Amino acid sequence: MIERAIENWLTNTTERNYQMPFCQVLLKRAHKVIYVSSHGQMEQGKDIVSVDSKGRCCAYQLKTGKIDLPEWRSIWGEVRELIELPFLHPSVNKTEIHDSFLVTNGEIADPVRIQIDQINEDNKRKDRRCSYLDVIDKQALLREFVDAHGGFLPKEPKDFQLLLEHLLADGADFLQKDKFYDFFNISMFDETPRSESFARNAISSSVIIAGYVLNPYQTKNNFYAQFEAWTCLAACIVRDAHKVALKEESWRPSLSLVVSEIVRNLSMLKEETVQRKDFLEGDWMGDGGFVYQARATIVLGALAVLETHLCSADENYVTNEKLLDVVRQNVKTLWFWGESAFPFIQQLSLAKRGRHKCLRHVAPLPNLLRYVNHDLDLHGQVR
Amino acid sequence: MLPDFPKAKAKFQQTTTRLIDELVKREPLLSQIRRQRQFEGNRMSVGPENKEAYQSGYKEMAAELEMKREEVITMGPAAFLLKVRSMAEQLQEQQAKMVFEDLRRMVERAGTVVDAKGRELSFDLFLESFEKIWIDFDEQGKPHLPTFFVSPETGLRLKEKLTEWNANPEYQRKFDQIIEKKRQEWLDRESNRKLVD
Repeated sequence: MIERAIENWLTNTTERNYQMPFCQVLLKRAHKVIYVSSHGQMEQGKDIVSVDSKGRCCAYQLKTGKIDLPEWRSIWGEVRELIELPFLHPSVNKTEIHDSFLVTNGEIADPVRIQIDQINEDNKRKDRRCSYLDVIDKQALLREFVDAHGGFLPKEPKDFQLLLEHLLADGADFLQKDKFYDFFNISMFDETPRSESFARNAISSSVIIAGYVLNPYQTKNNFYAQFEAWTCLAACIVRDAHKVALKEESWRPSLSLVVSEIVRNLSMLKEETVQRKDFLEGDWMGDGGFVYQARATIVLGALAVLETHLCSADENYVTNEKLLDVVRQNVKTLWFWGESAFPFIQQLSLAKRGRHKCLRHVAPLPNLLRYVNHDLDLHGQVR
Repeated sequence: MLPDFPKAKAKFQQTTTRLIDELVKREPLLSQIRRQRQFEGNRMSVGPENKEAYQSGYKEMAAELEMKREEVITMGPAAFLLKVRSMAEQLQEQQAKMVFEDLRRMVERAGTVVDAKGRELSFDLFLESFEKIWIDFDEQGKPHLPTFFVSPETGLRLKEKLTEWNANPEYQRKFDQIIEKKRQEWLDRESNRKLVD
């Protein structure tokens, strides 16, 4: 049943969504992942670059769906970059030719396989010093993901029920965080004493499983729900690693992957937000008013987290002007509905205090709180 | 997509639909029609005993609702609640029209049409219409007199005529005779009712 669930996810997902679980599979195979493309911008034809346990550089180009001849011809330019261009990185031995892999969650048509064979043979015959191109198709990917599960499968009926509830969730709704935690705590991060290797495997399996458990939200491009889910998982990983006193190199790479997914989903949320006219979503009937205000507060608060993170990661980072406009136009829309609104309002205020010009015009926290409670105006004057 | 609240919206939509339904049922004609929900099937049949049933499918009725983006954003769900009345009126009109059309079809089939043939509204014409219909009675023997749906002009004339007719003892006697006849018909129906199949 699990294999069927993974296959169903793999068939319907895109390269952006299976990219990260695939990175985790590489980590499980003792690769060191040194590059992962973000926002679909691959570098030199490479979406992922890793160094295997023997020090060989491996480069992967990820695709979605079936690769037949027309598709092969349309991607040939990117594939040439993959096999011809070396990857420049301190961890990569520049005297050696890397291994290249064309990865897809669909089938690779026979004529394409034949062409790939011919290209490889021709390159070898003419000593072109190009990378050898191998392929990983849906069946191979499925095998990798199923094997990476290890022993972390639901055992009791109620655990299966939890898994099914996630797989069949309404992807347009909020993530049910309590059930998400329950599933991972029961299947992977339970309280029983465990060995280090068990804990390591649990962490790496959790990253892969999360990839397909979030399928309903991926299908709907519900970036906020995915951001919440990966954040929950990051917390579970850190908690478990500290509980078992795992060495950092055992869990840090997995956590980095999870954090990259958090950033990626928040970035997609930002991209969508700055292109919109307003914060209306879905069916208008029942929207607007408090619903609208709550949504604006949640989204802007989450994007403030992203901006704070990007500012701290890159001292030259400058906040997107369009995002600043959105925040300026919607400060009056913010709503402090209760204590659970506090983190969103607080993040907007913290972003203001960043080293660089991130959301600087937003008021300090106490004023911001009183503003949304209608006590003060934005300049701190009593109304 | 941005985060959404599908469960809350679904609840609001259900409540609004129920409210519109309640408002529609308050229409004078529609309020007198008994409703029955059909959970399965794609057609229905209705008709008097011993006669061929009239079969029909379903008709879609829809009300249009226009909302401006700014209205929704600033007023929220209240913006829709303000428009609920106009939606109910649209549906009332459609349902009432359908009821009259179906009634016309059924009375033509049942042969209970009274054609005035251009005659003026008179007491005899009035009694003729009573001859053709069923009248039920309550436990106290009081008749459930029918409701007349007429145009506003006819309504005014009818009101004047009724005042005249009520004051006429001969007319009152004829009317009582008709009612008594209808009572007998009703009693016959009640005694011939099949209680168990």
